[in-house]
Amino acid sequence: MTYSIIARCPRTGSIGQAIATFAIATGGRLDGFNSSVGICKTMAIPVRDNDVLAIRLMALGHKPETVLKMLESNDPGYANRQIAMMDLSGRVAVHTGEARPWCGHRQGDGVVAAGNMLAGPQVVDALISSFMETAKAPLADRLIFALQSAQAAGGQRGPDGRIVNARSAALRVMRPGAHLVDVDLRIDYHEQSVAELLVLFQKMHKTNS
Amino acid sequence: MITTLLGRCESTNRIAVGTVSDEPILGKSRTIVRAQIGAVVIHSGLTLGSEVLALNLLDMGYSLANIVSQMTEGTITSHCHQFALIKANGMSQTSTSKTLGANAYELTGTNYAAISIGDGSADMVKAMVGSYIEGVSETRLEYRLATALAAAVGTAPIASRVSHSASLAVYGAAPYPEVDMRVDLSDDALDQIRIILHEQHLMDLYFAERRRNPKSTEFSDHFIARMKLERTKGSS
Repeated sequence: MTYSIIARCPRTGSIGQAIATFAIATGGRLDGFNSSVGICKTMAIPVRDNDVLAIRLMALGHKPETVLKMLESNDPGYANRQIAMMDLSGRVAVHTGEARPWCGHRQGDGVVAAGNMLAGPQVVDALISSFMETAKAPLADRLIFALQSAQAAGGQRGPDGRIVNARSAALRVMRPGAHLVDVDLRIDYHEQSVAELLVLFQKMHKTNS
Repeated sequence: MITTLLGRCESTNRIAVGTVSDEPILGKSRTIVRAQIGAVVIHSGLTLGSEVLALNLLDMGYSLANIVSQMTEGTITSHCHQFALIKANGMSQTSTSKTLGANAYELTGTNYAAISIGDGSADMVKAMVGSYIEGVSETRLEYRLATALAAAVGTAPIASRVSHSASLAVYGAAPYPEVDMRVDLSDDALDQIRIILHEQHLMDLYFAERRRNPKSTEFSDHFIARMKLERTKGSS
């Protein structure tokens, strides 16, 4: 049970990711985030090597769509994965396997959103629509607002309708080719991690201003 | 005050970095670790990106002393620097500029490097390293490091005996961290790190079960609740 958005800022070329999930310390597992290559995130039943491999394949020059096919041929458990990726130019590829319902994805130019065990398609719709509606804002703001919108649209929910809190959330933004992060905020364990991430984000702005 | 311990496990060669501070870090920690190469932590001074340079030089085979020279010579901000390095083989080095005077502490040895800047004390750093050395029988490096950080905070001057942010990362052979936890803002960040460690252990059990049995494993929230209940019954 996770929802995530990966996107590129068309003005600056920066790339970023926002994610919320039931699992702990999700910000410590953004293994497929490389400012010189792109972003890949495997969810549902994750395999960490998958994201590292995807980044290496994109670094060789493969398009995300090709990389997705290569991951499929390399992974016997591919049917159980949910994978979203984007390269530095904003090209995206996404796959939703047999993850727990509701699961699915949406994609656009320079943005891809995916999730599983959600309240419904409105959650990933909210990720994308919020991102699109805030086009003039900085990438980090757009991503965190998208996460808030997804939470407001129902967030994670079990098939029996019970609400499942996202216990960790993370936001990361980097300029293309940068060695150091521009924004790297994490809530590793909190029953309202998405709301707490916003608090942290606002505090960071206050501290920096 | 910010205090960091870099450690290497004698038996597994894993590298770990633990940091605790009485201030909120808010994602600004200048720590960089590369599996099977080493780790660099900068507390103060040096230009942004110096940590990447240091790790790249480490990867190329430069000696620790040479790297320290490269990082500090001719750098505008080097007059107020403090940083620490550890190699994958356990060799370590720290560097603190004299201008930081009585507000900065460091301690190095084989398999560890400790640095602290701010309102700490030399005893605090000694207590942290002492705890780390004594914890050699602890098989999980992350717990060993967490205990050492707690020893530091527990020995700090009373006004600094708080932790508002903390982080813990352990690297083995994989190109990603085995453990990576961070608390950016909390009334007791070290306590929060311990809670996260405990919860992460339960999640690891869940994911192992889910990989074995992807179709019919119970939902993760049910699994975690059941495990907690079983442990409560087991301990009562």
